[in-house]
Amino acid sequence: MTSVSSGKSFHDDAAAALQNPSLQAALDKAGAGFLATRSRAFASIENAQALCEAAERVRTRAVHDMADLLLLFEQRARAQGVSVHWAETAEQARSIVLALCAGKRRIVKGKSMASEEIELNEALLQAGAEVVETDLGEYIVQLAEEIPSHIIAPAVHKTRAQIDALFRHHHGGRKTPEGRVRSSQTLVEEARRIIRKKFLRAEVGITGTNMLIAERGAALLLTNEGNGDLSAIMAERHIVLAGIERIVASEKDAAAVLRVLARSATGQSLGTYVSLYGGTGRGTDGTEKPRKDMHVVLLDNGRSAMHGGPWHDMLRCIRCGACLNHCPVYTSVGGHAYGWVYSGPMGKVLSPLLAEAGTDARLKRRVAALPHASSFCGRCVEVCPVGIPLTSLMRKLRNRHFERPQGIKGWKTRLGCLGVRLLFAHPRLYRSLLALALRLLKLAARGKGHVGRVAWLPGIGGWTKTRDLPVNRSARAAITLLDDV
Amino acid sequence: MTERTPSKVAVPIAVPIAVLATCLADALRPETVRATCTLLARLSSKRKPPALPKRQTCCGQILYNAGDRKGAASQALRVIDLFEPFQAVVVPSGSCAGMLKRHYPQLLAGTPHARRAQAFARKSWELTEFLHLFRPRTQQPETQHKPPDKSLPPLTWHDSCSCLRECKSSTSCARSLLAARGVRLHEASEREVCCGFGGKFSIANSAVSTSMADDKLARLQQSGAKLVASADLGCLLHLAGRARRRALPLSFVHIAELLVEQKPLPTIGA
Repeated sequence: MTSVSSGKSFHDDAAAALQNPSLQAALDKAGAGFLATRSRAFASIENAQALCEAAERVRTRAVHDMADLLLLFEQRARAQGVSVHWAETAEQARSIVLALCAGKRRIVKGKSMASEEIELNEALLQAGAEVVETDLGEYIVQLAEEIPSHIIAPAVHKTRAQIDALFRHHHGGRKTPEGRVRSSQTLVEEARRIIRKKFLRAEVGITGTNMLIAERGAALLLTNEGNGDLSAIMAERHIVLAGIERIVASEKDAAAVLRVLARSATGQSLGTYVSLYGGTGRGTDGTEKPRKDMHVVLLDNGRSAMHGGPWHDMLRCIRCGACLNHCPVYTSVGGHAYGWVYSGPMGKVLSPLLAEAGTDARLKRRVAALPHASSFCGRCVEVCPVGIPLTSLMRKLRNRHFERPQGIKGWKTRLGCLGVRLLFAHPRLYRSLLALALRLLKLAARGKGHVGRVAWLPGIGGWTKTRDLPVNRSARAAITLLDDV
Repeated sequence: MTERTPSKVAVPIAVPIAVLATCLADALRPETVRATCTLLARLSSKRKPPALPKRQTCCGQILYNAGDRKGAASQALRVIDLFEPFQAVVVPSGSCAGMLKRHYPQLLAGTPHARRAQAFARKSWELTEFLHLFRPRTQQPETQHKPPDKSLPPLTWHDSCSCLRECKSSTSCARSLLAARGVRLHEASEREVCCGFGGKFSIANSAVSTSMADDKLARLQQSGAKLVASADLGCLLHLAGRARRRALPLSFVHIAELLVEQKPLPTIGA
């Protein structure tokens, strides 16, 4: 698989990411831009709050009625000649797409996180097809044999110099003089020239979708580069891969989501291209004509299991990426440390839940600890346009770990908590142990040239490795001290 | 909280108040607890110090964030039992106050104690919210601004995430208390970004937590301040510990100790 996580845990990969200068440079450059454009986009409209509330209502209703809406979608899409396929697992989705691509060799792809989730590219490559990602960011990570590090900006972790070198390596051509990096425009033009040729020769185009519109039986695509549309229309066959929770009831509902989607994601009022794909299109003479061969693959892969349960709210997610851009953990370490295609706060909730539905035991273990990697600062909840209580969901996942501990860490947490419970239940015992601990702490803080602080303490090595611990010089707890006065 | 205007407040107050010291301040910074009690005593008509119940331990957040919901719920109930007789519970920490105000009602929802938890949340206060609301008439808005206190080094304010997002009025209350104390703040940039403490996060995810602290410390220094005040001891210990390790010229103080106006000003880890 094209996973890039080298370490065994978020902790290891995050520590490595912090030591990676080019990654840090790329993150610094991208980070501030996202925040500024988003806040401008919302500041420039009067009713930002109301728009978000409207989008939340639409998504809440759509997720609630998901089953009925999906059936309506299927019926309306089929009536237009679109084939609808249901895939319960990643495996099933892969085989459906493989069957649809049988005998075809040249495939172009628009950006689709669902396809990353099911590792579609490898399956197609193994089957002997040529797959080309046509979104610039996706194209870059494909060349680099990596996975996206951001759900809307897949190559945000790469510097221009790295992309230049990557293009040199894969596209050939003259060497850039030492120390010089080609401009973004030159790089984009080079990629466009190459990808254009792929569009012209493509036999199958695969895209994701931002929303499935039930009443219309159509898939909505919001893009900036136009590559999604070329992927959808240039080849004879168009396959749309959609997570089942992408459903909304009507065009009006879709519009409510569109009003906050691009604003939250890139700070645009709307993406450059908004397209609806169904079974018919309007010809040049103005009449409805059947479009060519279109297929929609509806992917469950753990989503229906979230419906109606403790994680239900997560299904509302519109994949805007605002929580990633505003997360101090994400902006410090980038997306790859999260070990899978979904990163940031939404990934901390979604990855463990989706991985459980799959069969990859290594992945399951890798992402299970993600909900613990949060300081619970709550900024993600503040910026989520559809009001997903991300920190509460992470806390619920922690609850579940506590109830069903896994591995040494899980048991250590559980035993630690049971010990703390015992102390809390016996305040006098708590007092005596605290008094003892404070005396020991004072002893530890004596000498060695660091009076008043502890530079190393067993048990909290994670703290003392990088920080001193300012100690209580009186060595007495406040409650005892003030009681004496 | 903000809709209650100062004019409706009976000053000075005569209600029996209690202080929940918080486990961190209790163990590591008794000066903060003492200052909290002094400030509250000054508000009372007879300078009566607030109660500091001896059987208190912790608000239970450590269990709650570790995933031990049951343990946290029974600790919440224990805290409610202990502090319920008082008419107000004042907490010198946004994080622990947020636990009492926002999370206790959720933890105990659907239990026979749900309504008690809601009532308890209503009488729980983050320290600066309480001090601001019940401040003496001499500090009402019109007479609020004292001449600048020149004895203080240039000072900046660190908003903890829980003050910003769980005790939402704290951030303005603290600023107005500081103004009344004669402090002119050197505001730092990106104040809404977390400093990286997060309790167990600071130990379990040490590298990320430290990197967040360094980012925060850089912004605090850029403000031109030499002294950082905050309402949360967790953030302060974390930032002070990191600044001390890197030998940065920054000191840290809890707002309670700053407002007591005792000289010389005691700073954390000094």
